Amino acid sequence: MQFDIVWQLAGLGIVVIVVHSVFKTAGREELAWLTSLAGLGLFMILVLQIVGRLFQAVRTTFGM
Amino acid sequence: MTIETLVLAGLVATFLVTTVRQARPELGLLLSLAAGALIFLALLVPIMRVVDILRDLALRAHVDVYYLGVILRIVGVAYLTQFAAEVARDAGEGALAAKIEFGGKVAVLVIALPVVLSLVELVVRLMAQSGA
Repeated sequence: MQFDIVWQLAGLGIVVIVVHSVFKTAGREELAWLTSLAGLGLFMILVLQIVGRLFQAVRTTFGM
Repeated sequence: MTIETLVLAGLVATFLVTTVRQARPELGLLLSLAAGALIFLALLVPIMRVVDILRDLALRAHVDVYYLGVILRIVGVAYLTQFAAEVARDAGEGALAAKIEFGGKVAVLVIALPVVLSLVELVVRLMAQSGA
């Protein structure tokens, strides 16, 4: 089912959070922020693809 | 997708989004956006079935298909606008949400304008006929 993507995204998000705090407590702040930004970038690419599919579906269903 | 699966998935997604939002609000926002989009995509088949039935009814009632198209397009615009505005409001951006909703209102006005114009034209023509 398509909805599995949500679980994968949530898992990815939690991994990013954990890695961020691990780097932060190890004192390497710049690596922490780098992983956070990389995670955010990856998230945005994946989510915007899904939203693009939503727009396409709305367009065909409601005949815009 | 059955209603139980949908409701359960929605609840679990809410829980996950809340968890992620606490640590990283922007990731939580994107996650909620993705979950909302996927819920709609899962409902697509039933919605299309309803739209087909409506189209059939309109044909049988001899209503011009154009008018049903206008209504459907307005519903589509309303749904997308509400979707985006709700996401913005969840993120605390009330002002941005209001701007998005205003954009939706303008879009609906533009779509509905030809129908209003043809109605006015009809009324004017009727008045001219009865007046003369």
